[in-house]
Amino acid sequence: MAGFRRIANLFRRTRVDREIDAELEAHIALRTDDNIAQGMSLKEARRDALLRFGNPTATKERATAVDAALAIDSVIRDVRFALRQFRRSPGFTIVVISILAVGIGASTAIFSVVNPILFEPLPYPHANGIATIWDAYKTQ
Amino acid sequence: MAKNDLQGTLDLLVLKTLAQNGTLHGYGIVLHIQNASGEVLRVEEGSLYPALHRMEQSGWIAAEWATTETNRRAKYYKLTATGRRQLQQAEESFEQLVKGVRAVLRFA
Repeated sequence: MAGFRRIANLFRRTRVDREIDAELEAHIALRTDDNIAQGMSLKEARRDALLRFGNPTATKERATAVDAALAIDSVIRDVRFALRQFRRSPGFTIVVISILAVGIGASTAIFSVVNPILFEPLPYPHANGIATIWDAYKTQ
Repeated sequence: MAKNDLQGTLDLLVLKTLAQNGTLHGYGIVLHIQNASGEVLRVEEGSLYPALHRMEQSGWIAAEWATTETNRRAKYYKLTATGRRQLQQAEESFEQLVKGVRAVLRFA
């Protein structure tokens, strides 16, 4: 069921995001409360709580990544990145596209000739019964 | 063979903490591990929350939002039946690891 929950999380990413934000914020708030109870000023208490927490963005990213194995998300991002790279170097793009076009075109052309001649049965009934008959006259 | 690493040890600590305390929020787990270990172990928040969420996805723990005594909303975690089994396995695995390491250290 873990897999299903991960997939479900993809579609409510923002909700998951907000929940993680709230959870981490609560952690910092609780530590701040404790610090104040120990006699720190509000500002000092909050600063200490933030320092001890470390990098909240990194923590959040990692928690989110666990909640939704962001596979679909990252595929889309990869495609966008590829398209941007293409736009940045049009010469390379043209070369790549023409190599692919010529390669695929040539293979297809050759195959469409070879296929009916060598692989497909002849287009007549009882094709395997067809024989070639010839004769040779010895001229004297 | 004992299969264990630092990640596995953090899981073990969190599971055991929840088994002993019922329900706790992340901050409570950090405090408990710190106190129970006599200030020797300090769990990093940066590792704790991803671990909590991973264990929640695996169904070892369940989460619920509730209000703290200080009237703040926090996400409380508690052990599930699967988590209890996982805890038992993790404890055994950890014992094995310690036994193995100790044997190597004392090898003469």
